[in-house]
Amino acid sequence: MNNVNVAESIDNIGDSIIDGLLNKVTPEIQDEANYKMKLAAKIYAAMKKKGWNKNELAKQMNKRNSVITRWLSGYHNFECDTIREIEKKLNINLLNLEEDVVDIEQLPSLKAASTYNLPPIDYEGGKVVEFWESKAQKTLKATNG
Amino acid sequence: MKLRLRLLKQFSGKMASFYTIVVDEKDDKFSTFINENVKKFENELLQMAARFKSMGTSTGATNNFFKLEESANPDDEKVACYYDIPDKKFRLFCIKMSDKLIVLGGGGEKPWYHIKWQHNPKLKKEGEFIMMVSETIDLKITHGDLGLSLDGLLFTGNLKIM
Repeated sequence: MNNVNVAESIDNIGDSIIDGLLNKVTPEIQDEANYKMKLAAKIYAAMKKKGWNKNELAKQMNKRNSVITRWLSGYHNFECDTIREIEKKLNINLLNLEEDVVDIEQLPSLKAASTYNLPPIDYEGGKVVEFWESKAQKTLKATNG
Repeated sequence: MKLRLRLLKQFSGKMASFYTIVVDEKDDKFSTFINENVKKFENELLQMAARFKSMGTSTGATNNFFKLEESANPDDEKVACYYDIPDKKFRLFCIKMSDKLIVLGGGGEKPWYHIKWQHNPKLKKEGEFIMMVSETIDLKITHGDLGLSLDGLLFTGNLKIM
């Protein structure tokens, strides 16, 4: 197997175009997107916790599936009555977005890196360390001493 | 044709990473998609970019944000679409490896009179391309040439996929 080359994936082809677009994303646009995305993520996480899919929530809320898809898209402007009804059905406080609501899952085809018996990445040696250091990496480092 | 995965640091964060596909070391599928659509759909693309950033830093790329299982191959459940809400004017193809790892492909406008993306020549071409890339990634993973980092946020191994 070739050497791990995460840093190789970081170059600047296309960056000017993407950066040009992102420069036009105002703080207001980003704040609104963040808020709506967190709201949708919280509903989705609560659905999963109850074992409900879109069909089940649609049934419980007496709505069409397409309405639920829109709610979960991260684009929807919710009305107060709708929020109250969702909170009741899912037993959540939807407007408290500071709670850790995200329930990340893997698709069955790619469950975990360990499945592939790959060596850990030397993040310290790569440029990616500048961008983030996840809890998982910290845990890994702590485990490895 | 040479293809390589490239990390999009602009959208990637502690919750999810986004990659694009560099073609022949000249351009990449995602920035080409922006270039092709920015004049007509600038507002929609700004909203999309803001949401990718939210996924990368805050929510993760959970299934609810995508239209899943777009591949013609029923065994390949990773090919998905991202589209603008509520008007659904365009489709952006992607490979959803997990809630933490997305490969963005190309896409284009989906006129209302094309009920399925397969009916639109541009979308058909982009859809078939992303399916081919998805199958290639699967093969490379199977052969141990490509994998995921322990936290699931990054590809490891040889990022040149073709």
